Amino acid sequence: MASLITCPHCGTRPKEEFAIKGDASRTRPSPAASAEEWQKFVYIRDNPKGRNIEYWHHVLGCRRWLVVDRDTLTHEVFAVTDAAEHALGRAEGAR
Amino acid sequence: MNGPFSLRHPLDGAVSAYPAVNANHVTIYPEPQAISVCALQGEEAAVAATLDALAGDGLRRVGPGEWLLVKHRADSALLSDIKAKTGASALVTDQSNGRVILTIEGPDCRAILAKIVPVDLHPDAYPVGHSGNVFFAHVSAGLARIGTDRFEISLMRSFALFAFEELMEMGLEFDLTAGFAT
Ligand SMILES: [Zn+2]
Repeated sequence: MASLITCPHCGTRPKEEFAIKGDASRTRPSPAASAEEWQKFVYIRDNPKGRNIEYWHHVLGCRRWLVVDRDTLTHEVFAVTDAAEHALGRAEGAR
Repeated sequence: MNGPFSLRHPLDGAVSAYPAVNANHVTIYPEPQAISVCALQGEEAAVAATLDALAGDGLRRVGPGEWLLVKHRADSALLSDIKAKTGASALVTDQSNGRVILTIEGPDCRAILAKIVPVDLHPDAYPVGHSGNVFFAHVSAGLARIGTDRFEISLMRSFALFAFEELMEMGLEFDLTAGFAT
């Protein structure tokens, strides 16, 4: 199978076990943010060619949200992290 | 359909009441028990230790802090025991009527499963005692290796007949038989 993702909890699994929910680099605007900012967050998507991070939900496995760091051109996978850990790392990095 | 789910097994009528038992055989458990346990944040290790002591070889890992306890024959005290011993550190739900539990065993069971799940079932990669949810005939199922040539499959009730029929079809070339446990 072409697309294998190594889930930190379940091991190596085919992409059919996952639902891909897109860009994991964006942060949710504050509730008071402008309509333009919310419009951008909710509707506007980049379609990056190359390395980027995405949310993948392991629907048929552990049902955890994961962050997959991969290249959309070559499909090389660089890292797969549990989304909770990813969020913690990001919060610590911001401190 | 009349009456509650608990009165009718989803695989009723799908197998002979007097099945042949070949070397490769699927056993369906008519009154199994499946209990879902989710540990609250920070309580994972304590809950794991409690469940280990209570459920022993019936403990199936789902994900971090989440388990399914499986008994092939229901133990009426288990649910209340788990609830009492995990207390406020976990969420405990009885899923017994929502799951179909079966085992497949025999010299070719790995070859049969290899046609239906996308995970490596070599004993080095999926050793005895290992468990998890896997893509099983296009639906999610719990798969646990409970012996060198014996696996336990836990199916969601509404998918059970479909997934069971797929499994039997994959087993045709290996003379796979199936029946309810007696
Ligand atoms: Zn997983």
